[in-house]
Amino acid sequence: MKEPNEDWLDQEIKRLPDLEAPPELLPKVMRSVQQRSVRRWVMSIFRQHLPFIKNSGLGFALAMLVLIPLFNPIAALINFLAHTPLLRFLGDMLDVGGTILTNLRVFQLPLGWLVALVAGSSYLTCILAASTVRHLATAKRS
Amino acid sequence: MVNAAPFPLIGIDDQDASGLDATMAEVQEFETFVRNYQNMVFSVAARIVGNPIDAQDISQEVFIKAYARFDELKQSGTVGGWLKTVATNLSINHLNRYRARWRFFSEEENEVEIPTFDPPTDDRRESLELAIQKLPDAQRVPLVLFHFQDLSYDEIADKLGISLAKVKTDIHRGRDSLRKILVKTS
Repeated sequence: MKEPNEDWLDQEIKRLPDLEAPPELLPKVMRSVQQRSVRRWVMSIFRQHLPFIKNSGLGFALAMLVLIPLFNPIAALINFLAHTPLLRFLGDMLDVGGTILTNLRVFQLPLGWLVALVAGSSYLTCILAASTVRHLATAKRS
Repeated sequence: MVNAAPFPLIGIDDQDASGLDATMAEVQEFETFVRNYQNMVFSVAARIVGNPIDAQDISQEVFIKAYARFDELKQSGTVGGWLKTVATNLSINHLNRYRARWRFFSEEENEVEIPTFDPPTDDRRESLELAIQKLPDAQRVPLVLFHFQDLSYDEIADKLGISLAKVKTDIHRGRDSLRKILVKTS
């Protein structure tokens, strides 16, 4: 409801035209609208072809199930990798390491046993320390 | 003659391509729509927030919302009203978000001082427009909602979350300030 005494100020305000929008507004709006419209179109195509995409995926999976045992690509890959010089070098180094761990003896024990013993006891110590700290923290809070 | 599919390898057929054409046509239609309403939306936002840069961001947001409902709006006879309402609400939200609420919608009856300014030209309308922008938020927002959006005092109080008395006082003060400015510049 307007005030009863509409005066010249009301008239002036009523006569005010719309402000002019800055020229960069339209390009800005259209840029984001175009991005949205393309995204919307791609999604509509995806939805429209969803059964085809699903069936293709299923067909591909079935084809793989048949082809993998026939051609055994994993074995071919391992075979290929085994012939690369770096992996052969790594294999040799692992052999040397294994020999040292089983044949070298410290205090009548094989080095491998000793390493496993130290690693196991360190792990147990860490677990014990962590659970003690947690227990103490909980006890202090309560 | 049978038309070949435009992108047969990736499975996009004629139907999909015509869908893209339709989308592009819709975008063009929307461009005309924005051209027709951009001044109105910008005016609403600029008069409420009193800042053309923020008003531009708000206008962009309004049109993005409009694009999301363009199918509905095209057929509606109240597009202008819808755009004005969305622009008003977004502008008020913007003020609420970025300015200290207690200053903007305070119930305190502090006297607000109007900053003085030199009108750029002798044009009365331009002076009035500038004077509205220079009003403090607490006076400008209710005044713009009352005069430009044709909202009642009750609706303004409801929208801004302030009392009816405060709305009346702020509008009265805003009008007084404008009157003084206009008398001074005329």
